[in-house]
Amino acid sequence: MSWDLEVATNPEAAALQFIAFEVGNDRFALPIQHVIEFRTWAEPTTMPNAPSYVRGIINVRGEILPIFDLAARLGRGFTMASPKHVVILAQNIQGQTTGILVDSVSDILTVSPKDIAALPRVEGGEATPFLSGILSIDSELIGVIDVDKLVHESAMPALTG
Amino acid sequence: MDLDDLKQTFFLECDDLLAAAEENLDALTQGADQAEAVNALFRHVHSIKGGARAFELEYLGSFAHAFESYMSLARKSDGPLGDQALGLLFDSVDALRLLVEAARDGLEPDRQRIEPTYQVLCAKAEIVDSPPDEAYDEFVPVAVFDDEPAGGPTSLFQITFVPGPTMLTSGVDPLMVLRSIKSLGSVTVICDTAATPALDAFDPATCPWQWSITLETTESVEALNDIVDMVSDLATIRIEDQTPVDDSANLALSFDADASYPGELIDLGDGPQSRSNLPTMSAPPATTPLSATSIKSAGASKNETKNLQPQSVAPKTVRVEVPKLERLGNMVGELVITQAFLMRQASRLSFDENPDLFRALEEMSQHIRDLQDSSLALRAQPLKSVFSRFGHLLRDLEKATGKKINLTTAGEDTEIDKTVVERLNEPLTHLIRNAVDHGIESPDKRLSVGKPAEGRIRLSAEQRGNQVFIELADDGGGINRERVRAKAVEKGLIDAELVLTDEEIDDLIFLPGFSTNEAVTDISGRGVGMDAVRQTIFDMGGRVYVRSEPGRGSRFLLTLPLSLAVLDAMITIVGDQRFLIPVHNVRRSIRPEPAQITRFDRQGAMVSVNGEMLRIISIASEFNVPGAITDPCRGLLILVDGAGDQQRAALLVDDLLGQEPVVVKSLERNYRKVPGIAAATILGDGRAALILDLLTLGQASGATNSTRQRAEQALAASVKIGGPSA
Repeated sequence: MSWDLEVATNPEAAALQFIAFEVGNDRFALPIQHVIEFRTWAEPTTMPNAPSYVRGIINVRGEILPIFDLAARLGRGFTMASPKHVVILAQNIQGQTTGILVDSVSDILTVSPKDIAALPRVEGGEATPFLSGILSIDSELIGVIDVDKLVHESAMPALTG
Repeated sequence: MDLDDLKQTFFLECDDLLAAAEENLDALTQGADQAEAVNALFRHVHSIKGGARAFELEYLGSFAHAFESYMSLARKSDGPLGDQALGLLFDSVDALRLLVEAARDGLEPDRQRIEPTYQVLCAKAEIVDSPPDEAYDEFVPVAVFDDEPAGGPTSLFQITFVPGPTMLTSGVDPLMVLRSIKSLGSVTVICDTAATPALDAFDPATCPWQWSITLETTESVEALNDIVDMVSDLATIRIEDQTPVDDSANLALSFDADASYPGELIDLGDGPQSRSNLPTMSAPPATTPLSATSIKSAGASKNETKNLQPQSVAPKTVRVEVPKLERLGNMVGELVITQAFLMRQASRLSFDENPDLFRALEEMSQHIRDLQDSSLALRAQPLKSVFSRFGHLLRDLEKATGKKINLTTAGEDTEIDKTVVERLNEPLTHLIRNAVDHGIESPDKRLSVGKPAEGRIRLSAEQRGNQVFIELADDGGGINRERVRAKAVEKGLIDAELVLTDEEIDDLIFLPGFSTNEAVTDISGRGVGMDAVRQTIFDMGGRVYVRSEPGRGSRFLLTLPLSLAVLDAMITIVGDQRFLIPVHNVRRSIRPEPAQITRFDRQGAMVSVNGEMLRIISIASEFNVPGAITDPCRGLLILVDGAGDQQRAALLVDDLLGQEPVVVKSLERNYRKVPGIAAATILGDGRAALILDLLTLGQASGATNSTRQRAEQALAASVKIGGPSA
C-alpha cells in the first residue's frame, strides 16, 4: 500500500489518518485507507437468512455490497435509519467491500502514532471484538474499527473468563 | 513487463504446450504417424525446457531434458513404439504437467510421483547426470515465436524512414507507414528520438523523429516499393537489402544486439520483439549504428524457431487476462439489462408515431445480441481439452483393474465457458473412475453374461439451447439397487421403511458419505464421493442425473449452463420484495382452486396438479417476508423443477412481474453464500434483487411430523439428495 510506504519512509509524515464517525453517543474511527466513499442511507434490498445486523444489499456501480448496521453489530440495537444517516463503504484485507451504517461522519483525524493505544488485554466491553486499537485524542477515547473482524462471521462478542 | 509477467506468460504457454502434447499422444494411440507425432511432442517438451532453464526451474528443466533425450532415442528407432514406451510417454507428460503446475503455484513438486518416471527416462536415455551444459546452446526463449510467413525465400530489409516536414500537415500518419511495412512480414522498429526538441520548441505539426525498421519478409522488394511510393514526396525512405547469405551463425543473440540499438522499441502488436517483451527500454542508448550482428541474428533465431514450432500452425491468438474478459462480460451484461429496460419504456410509445425510434431499437437489439454472443464466445473453450485427458486415465485404470475398456468420445468440439471447462476435469474424472471401478465388470464376468470382454464407455457432449449436455454412459452392470438401498439404511441416510422408486434409489449414491464399495480401492473411494461430483456441478449452475438399467449399464447426464454470466429469470413479487427464479427451472405458473390444495399441518400444504402432488414452498415463510400472500389460492404458484434433483415443487409468490435476462452477480464476492439464494442481480431500476437457489430453498423447512409422513419423507429424502450438505 502506497500510503503505508509513505508513512514508513517519511518520518515527517508519520501521522496516521482516520475517518471518525458517530454511533449513538460514541465516536469510532476507521483507518482512512480502508474507506472508499460515503453514501447517504437508502433502503437496501432485504437479505433473507442473514444475521439481524445485515440490513440488506445494495448496488454500487454494478457490485453487490452488504450493509452492516454497526450499532446492531455492536449489540446496541437497530439504527432507525433515515436519509441523514451515512453508509461508509470500507474495504477489508481480502478486498471485500462492505457498507457500514453509522449515524454520521464527524471528522478526519490526523493522529500521531503515540496517540494510538493497543487494546486493553482483558475487557468485557461489547465493542472490543471489532476494534484494532484505541485513539486517545484530547482525553477522548475513540475505538478504531477493524473491518475484517466486523465482517468476519465468527467474530462474536468475546466471552470473559 | 517484468520477469514475473514473463514467467506467467511462460506458464500459460506451458498449458498450451502440454495440451498439445496430450493431443499428440492421443493421436499416437489412435494410429497417427508415429514419427510426426513424436517430433511434435519433442518440440513441445523442448519449448518447455527452454523456458524452464530461462526461469531457473531446475527440476522441471532436468526432467524435460531427460524426456527430450529419451524421445531423441525413440525417434531414431525404426519400429513402432511398444505399449511400454507409450506408457512412459504418457507418464512423462503427466509428470511434466505436475512439475509445471507446482512451479506455477510456487510449490514443491511431488517428487514421489515424478521421480520414478524421471529415473526410468534417465535410465533409458542413458543420462548419467543432468543437466549437461550442451542444453543451453540450443536454448531459445519460448516467447519469441511468431507466425511464419508462408513459402518463398525470406529477405531482410533495413529501412530508414524519415518523415518530411509536411507529412503530418498532409494528414499522413507515420504509424500508417509503419503498419503497412509491418503487414509484409515481421518487423523490428526502432524510433530515433534524438532530434526531439525541448518542450517549448515542440511543433505538433512536424514529426521530429525517424525510424529504423528491420523487415523480414517473403515478399519481394516491389511490395515494399509500393508502400514507399505512397509517401515518397512526404518522407525520405531508404531501403537496403541485407538478406544474409548464411544465417546459421550467431544463434539467438538478438536480445543483446537489440539492447544496443539507440532509441526505443515500438510495440506494433505481434512482431517478435513485442512478444518477447524484453527490458530493452531501460537499456542505455548506445551510439552503435545498426550492426550486422543484429540483423544476422534476427534471421538466425527465426530459423531456430522453425524447428520448435508445432507443425500444425496454431490460429493467431492474443492472450487476455481473465479479469479483463470478466469486465467485458459484465459490461455486456449491463448493456443487455439497459436494453431490456429501454424496450420496456419504448413499448409504451406508439409505433406509428416513432417508426425511426423503433427501427433503431430493433437494430440496437440485434447488435447487442451479436455482441453478447461474441463476448460469450471469447470465454468459450471446446471440451476437447478435458476429454482428451481421459485416454490416458483409461490406460491407467485398465492397468490397475485388469479390465478392458474402450472409450469413445463425441462432441468434443462443443464449447462452454472456460471456467466450466476447467472445473469439469475433476467430476468427470471421478465419474469415469467410478464407471470403471463399479460399473464395468471383469472380462470373465462380461463374457459369462454374453457381453464382449471389452467394456464400453461413451463420453459425449452437445449444446441444447443455452445449456450443454455431457453424458457418460457405460455398458456395465448398472446400479445394484438392493445394495445401494441397504447401504443407505445402514448408514442412517434413509429410513428403513421408506418406499422409494428406482430413480430415487439411484439418486441415493449422491448422498454425502455414501459409498458402496466396501474395499476402498486405489481407484475410487478416495474420499471424493459422488456428492462432491454433484456439488461441483451444482456450483456451476448445473445438474447431474443418473439413469441405470441393471445388467445393462448406467448413464450419467450433466447439464451445464453455457455461460455463468447471464441468466433468464422470472421476476416475482413477494410482499414488498422481488425474487428472481431462473427460467430454466420454471415449468409454468397456476392459480389453484381450493380443491387442489391439501393442508397437512399449519405451515405445510401440497397442491395437486394433473394428479401429481407437489409440495408448496412459500417464499414469504421461507424468508420471513412480511405482508405477503399466505393463501395459495389467492397468490400464484410457480411450478418448478430442480428443487432437488427429481423434485418438483410449487413456489408460492404474490404475483409475477415479468421475465428478463439478468446478469448474475456474486454475493460471495463481498459477502458470503446464503442458503436459498443463488446470487444477486441488478434490475432495471438499479436496485439489487436476489436470485433464488431452488436446490437449497426449502431445505431448512424440511417437513417433520405430518399426516402425510411417507410422502413427506420421500420428498425430504430427495431434498437431502438434491442439496449440498448444509
